[in-house]
Amino acid sequence: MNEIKVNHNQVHLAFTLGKITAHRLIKRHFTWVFLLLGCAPAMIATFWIGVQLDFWDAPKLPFALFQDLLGLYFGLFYVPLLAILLGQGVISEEVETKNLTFTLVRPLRRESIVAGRFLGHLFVGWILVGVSLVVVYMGNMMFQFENFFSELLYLIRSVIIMCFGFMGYLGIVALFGTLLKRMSIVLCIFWVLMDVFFSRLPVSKLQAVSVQYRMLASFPDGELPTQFGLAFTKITAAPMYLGFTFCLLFAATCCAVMTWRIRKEVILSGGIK
Amino acid sequence: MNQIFVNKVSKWYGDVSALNEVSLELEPGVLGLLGPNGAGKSTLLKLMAGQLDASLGNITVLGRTYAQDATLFYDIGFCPEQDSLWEEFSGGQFLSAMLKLHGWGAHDADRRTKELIGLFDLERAGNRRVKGYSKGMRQKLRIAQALAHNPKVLFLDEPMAGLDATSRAFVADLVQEMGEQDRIVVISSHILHEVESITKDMVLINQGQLRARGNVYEIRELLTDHPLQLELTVSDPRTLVRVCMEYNHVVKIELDPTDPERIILFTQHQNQFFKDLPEILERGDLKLKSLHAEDEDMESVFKYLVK
Repeated sequence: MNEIKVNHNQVHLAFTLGKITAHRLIKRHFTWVFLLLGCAPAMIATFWIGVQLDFWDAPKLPFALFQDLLGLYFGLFYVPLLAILLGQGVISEEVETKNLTFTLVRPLRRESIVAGRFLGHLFVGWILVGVSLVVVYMGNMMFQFENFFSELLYLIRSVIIMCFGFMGYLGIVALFGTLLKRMSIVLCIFWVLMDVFFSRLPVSKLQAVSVQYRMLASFPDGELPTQFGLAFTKITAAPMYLGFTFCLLFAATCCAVMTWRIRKEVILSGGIK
Repeated sequence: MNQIFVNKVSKWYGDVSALNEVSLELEPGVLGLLGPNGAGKSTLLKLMAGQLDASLGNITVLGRTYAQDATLFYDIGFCPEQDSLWEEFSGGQFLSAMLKLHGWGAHDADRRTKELIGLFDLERAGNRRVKGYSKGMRQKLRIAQALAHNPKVLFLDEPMAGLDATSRAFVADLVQEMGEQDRIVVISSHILHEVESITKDMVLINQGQLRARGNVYEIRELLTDHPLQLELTVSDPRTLVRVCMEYNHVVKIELDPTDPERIILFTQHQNQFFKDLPEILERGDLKLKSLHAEDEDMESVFKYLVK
């Protein structure tokens, strides 16, 4: 047998697991259903232009419709729902199906397994959110083509914000899934509702733990996506990196707790050499 | 240090004790781990394969422990009992992914995957999704992933489950071959003749405790306090009972209520009994119609031990 080159680097192994996880997710029908669900609002613009139907009381430009969809569809519905459904698969689904065994007998430390699984899900979620937003933007802006390029920066900002928001949601959902197993979906839905509610309350401590608030605050003043009518406080714009850092730390903390949890329960090798 | 040491290992799941102070020493070769369902075989395998932490005691594999050294996983292969696989992948993709998670490069992983697909006769299904595989094919794939990276230690939990006769023979040969290559192979099963055909070195486990170790004959020797059970059909069982009671090695005789000519006899020394049998028959003027030693095969020893 030829000499086999084996890479012992844990970062390499974690990324390999991430790639394999993403590959597995892409092969699921569920992922494609979510892509369709994400791109579906693009048709609204066509419909709107086609029949000149006024959805929101007053005539709107396609870009304003994009902002509606961004706030009401993606921010409130699509991103949290995608995180809830994808997040269950990070660890808990693998434990439940006993498929995690195949990963646990590989030379990956527990933290590499959590990181790899999380990255794989995050990557697929980002692709879905990104592609959906681009498709919806194009679907809208083709009817306002004169502003197509001038609003591209807004699209890029929106994609980044929705992606880091997804990261925050995914972290907490994956953690709930790992800790609570079957009851986790109920708790996740409740938590997302609370998260949205907290973002609207004039209580800074509650806003501080709200992913939704961090997403909204990352938009500059005057560029906020459409929200529900009920808002008890004004959302003050903050630099985007703050929102990103918050979501990153949020997700990292969740991953750390998940690592501790599976170290305890599922038993991981993972001693630091 | 090509050995495994299991030192007074206990494992509890909450209040339930799955293993109780099990000690074991394994050297290169094939070891059969036998016991009924729920005996603790899978728990012991998972402990040895680093899938579980022991509640008490410790396990050293190749001179290392999993807690101290994650690289130990490069040297072990584990075939789990449960019927789970990565359903989204084809067989080839699954094996290739397993190798890549061992740090193998894409080229080497693909080459080895092709070898394994051929070895396990999965060519026709290699590109099909695992979801559509038969039970036997799924089992082959689980075994293939365990030995894909040429581990020094191989743990196979009920590997014959779901395999047809040809595949069983193939897996048996493969396991024997690996045992001969200076590897430690542990194979668990509750079907005794399967393991008996692969190895004579066996461990009997029941209710979380190690009951015996050795080959079938050595195990019998260990059980001197447990008599051999024989079924005899004779012309006059009552006379046989009377004559037999004069022999010290006969410890118990039972009449079979369903068959007036049959008795069940328990002897402490099998060889001595067979030496004395002609004399017993002659003294009672008896005609022996049939004789069956209940404990002559592994199955009966096993049944006996786990009672």
